[in-house]
Amino acid sequence: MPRLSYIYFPDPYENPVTKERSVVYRPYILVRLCNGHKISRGLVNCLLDSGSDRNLFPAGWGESVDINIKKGKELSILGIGGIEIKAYRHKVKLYVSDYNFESEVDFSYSQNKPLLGRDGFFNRFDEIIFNQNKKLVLLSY
Amino acid sequence: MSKDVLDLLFKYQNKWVAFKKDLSGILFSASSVKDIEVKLKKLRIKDALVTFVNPADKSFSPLCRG
Repeated sequence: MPRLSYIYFPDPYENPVTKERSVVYRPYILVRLCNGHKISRGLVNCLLDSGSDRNLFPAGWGESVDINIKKGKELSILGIGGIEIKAYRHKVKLYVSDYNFESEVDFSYSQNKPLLGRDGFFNRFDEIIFNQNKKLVLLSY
Repeated sequence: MSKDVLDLLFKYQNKWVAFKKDLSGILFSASSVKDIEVKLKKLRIKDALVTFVNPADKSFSPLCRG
């Protein structure tokens, strides 16, 4: 069974009380987005989010591979605090290293951080292991 | 990751950043991932690591229920 591993990636963090600066490590996966023959040039850090039902990407990423965002099915996404955002659903192909698969992504103009959810990402793998101590994610497919 | 690059992460909060593939430095930043892709294409760069740098003064709890 092929296996991919990704080291957690740091984001800046400032303690709100002491103002001390450090980093917080989060489980990101490097993904390329593909629409037909158009594939993104960058390897984009996407947050592996087991709490997300589906994939949610910024609309601009979809536009960069010529996806006509507003032609997708319009829907509402519910987030933390009960906030709803508008998104548009599209079929895409996702590349994770040498592994690629058909998927669906909801694209939103209100979302910056790409999120990888259970339906459309997690379910494309046989096993996903978060090793918090080693700050490592293992994906088997 | 070097201290210099960590300092840059704080500098580029709430922005999209393209890193050199070996994470030794930042190539450029932009306000959108679309702008990053346009610039990567213009510079003929493949395989840059692209990330949105979260604001440092807030915890992050995404939830997507669609």
